Amino acid sequence: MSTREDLWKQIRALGIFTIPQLLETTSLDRTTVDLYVRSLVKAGRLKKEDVAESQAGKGVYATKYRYRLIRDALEAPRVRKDGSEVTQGRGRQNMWRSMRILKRFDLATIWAASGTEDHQVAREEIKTYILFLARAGYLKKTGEGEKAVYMLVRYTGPKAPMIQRIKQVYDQNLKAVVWPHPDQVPTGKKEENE
Amino acid sequence: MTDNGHSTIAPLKNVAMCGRALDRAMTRPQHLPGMVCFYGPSGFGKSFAAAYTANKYQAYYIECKSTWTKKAILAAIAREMGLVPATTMYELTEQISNTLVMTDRPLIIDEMDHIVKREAVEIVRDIYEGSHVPMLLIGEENLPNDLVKWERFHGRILDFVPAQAADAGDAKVLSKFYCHKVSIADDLVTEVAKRAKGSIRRICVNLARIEEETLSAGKTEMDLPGWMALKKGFWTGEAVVRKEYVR
Repeated sequence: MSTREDLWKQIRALGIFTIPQLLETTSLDRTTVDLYVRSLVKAGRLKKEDVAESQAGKGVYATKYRYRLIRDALEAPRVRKDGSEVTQGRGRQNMWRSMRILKRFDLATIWAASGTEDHQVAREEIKTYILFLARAGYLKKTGEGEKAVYMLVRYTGPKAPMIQRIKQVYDQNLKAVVWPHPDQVPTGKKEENE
Repeated sequence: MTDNGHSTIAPLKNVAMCGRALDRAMTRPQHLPGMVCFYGPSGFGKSFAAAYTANKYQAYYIECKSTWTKKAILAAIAREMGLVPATTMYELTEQISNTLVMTDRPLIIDEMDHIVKREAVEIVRDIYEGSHVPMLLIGEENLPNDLVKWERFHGRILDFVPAQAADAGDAKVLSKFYCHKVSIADDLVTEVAKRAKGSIRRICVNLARIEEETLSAGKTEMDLPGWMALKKGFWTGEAVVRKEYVR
């Protein structure tokens, strides 16, 4: 479980909490906790409240503020310091979702379906993603070149498979590396640029 | 046409209408129902609209299969939401509703016709009643008529939105994606739209063909007289693509 998910789970469980309370229940350091809580306040998910002096606590538990969860969510929010949403991975998620909905498609179709006003997806990015998904056995290809038609033959779940920096395909649904197959010896063939 | 990174299919008529319908459901006053129904014949670009809308709102999307039982439908929705499906229908419904309440994400149910045929609309209603999240239901032309039978369900629908036939404006939007290496003149785009008789699918196929043939003729632009001179015609076939079972 990532730090973020860990913390969010605690926050949801507590509802109203102080920073020392969070520190007590997780093994994370103060800086990390502070940063995430501050970002969540900016994102409008937490409300910062003053604590009455009588309840302020002593020693390491001394605190002036407590936080209240005001906008809940199932998944841990991914927020930047200023409270804005982190959209990294959004393009990949859109491509995967479009493939699931369209099932049979060519490059242009996924290109058309995946970009939104808030998040553009570059044609090259789609090309690379399709290439790796085909290699990893998710897509079946008919025809050649740019007009090739693909069919989604292996849908493993809602989370988009990731191409990791070391050029392997990791499936978040299966929580496993699916390409290169663990038994396969790397071919040493030059990979196309990401 | 050059690679325009800032184009989207948002201006497509059906994409815009589908998005507006869901938007109305998402921003509705609390006393109004929150389900919208988008329906129309195959080939009108409903899947395009579904994909764009799902991406825009990061929606949960489920496509029903003819073979699914009520429980299978519920289990599929749960899996799509990243949950480990509970065992009984009652628990599944509660699990889904509770999760939907927690997220800000709408639910899109495609091929709704199968749910109606299975007489399973009440499971969708139960999810709605348990969560009150906006839902987009997509189906064939007959969907509104078929739903009339389910009075208690019908009354929870905010809006019925019919998919529209594609026109030249739609073809122009699509040409940015399907003819991105060549420049295609407006007279040809208009003709493609006319020949397609409202079908987005036919427009896409013809635009892709035009790009391919233009490039192999060694050209980078094409207009209607040029295309007629190539004698490649227009593809007007009935492009009924069976939706394969995927999973």
